[in-house]
Amino acid sequence: MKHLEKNNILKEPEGYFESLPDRILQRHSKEKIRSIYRLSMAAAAVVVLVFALFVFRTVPPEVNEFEANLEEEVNLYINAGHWNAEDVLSLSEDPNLILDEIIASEWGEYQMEDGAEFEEDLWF
Amino acid sequence: MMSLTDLELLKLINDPKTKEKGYRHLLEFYQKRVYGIIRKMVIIHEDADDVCQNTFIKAFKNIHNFQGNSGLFTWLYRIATNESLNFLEKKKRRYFFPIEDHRSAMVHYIDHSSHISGDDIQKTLQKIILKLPEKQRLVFNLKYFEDLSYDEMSKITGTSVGALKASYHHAVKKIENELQTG
Repeated sequence: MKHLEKNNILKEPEGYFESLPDRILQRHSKEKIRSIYRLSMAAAAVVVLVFALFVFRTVPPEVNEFEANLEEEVNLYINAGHWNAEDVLSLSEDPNLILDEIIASEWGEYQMEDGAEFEEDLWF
Repeated sequence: MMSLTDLELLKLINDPKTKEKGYRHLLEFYQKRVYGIIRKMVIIHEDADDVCQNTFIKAFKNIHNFQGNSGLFTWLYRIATNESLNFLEKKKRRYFFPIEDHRSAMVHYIDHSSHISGDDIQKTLQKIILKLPEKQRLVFNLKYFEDLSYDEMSKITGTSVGALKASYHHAVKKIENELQTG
């Protein structure tokens, strides 16, 4: 090996090093633009996501307020004796449905309690 | 540690007004040496061109992390050698019988490309060097062709001076044996 000349036999095309800096700088600025674009897209996505969460997760305050006021007002009318049960039922579009629901819930409770007693009777 | 040129280059690069100018100077100053070490590892010019561009792009992205503990050139060499080894590793994975196929592609390039000069003995030497494991080939190239000190090589490769000396010694032995038998 000592007798071998240390020549570099690997040659580059002519003019290669004259154009290389321009090509690298161009690629660098393209990549910079691409990364800025990606960053701004990510930021936009975050903004949209936060906005969507804000819109869908908060109930409009005026709706809550309206419902609370209405309930309070109805209670006041009932307590003051201005309205009786029929008056309140007549405010509904389907008073029979409300009555059916009340009966079903009352009878349901009664039947369960009654059934439990019946079973106990059988065992003893 | 750093030469005045390195300090001047970094000053240019750190100033937003002169950043582009700084990058250009850095490229013009170091491109031949960086390309040279990459080319000796990947042999094929088109591959060396890709790896060289990636090396400088990576350097530009990370230059704010450069702490000046070593010269700018040592730092660039470190990126270049890492990029070259990664490139060869990726090339290997693309073949079913990886090592031999990519090595034979490089040997074929040495025999037939117009971007190779030199006589038959020098081409034979290059082909024998290609038989070394890649990291040992890197050590051999840095010492034999680039004439770097073991300290500089240690900073570039992150390997101890003792291990580098042993690796180079073994590489020379292998190459001499091949030259004698071939």
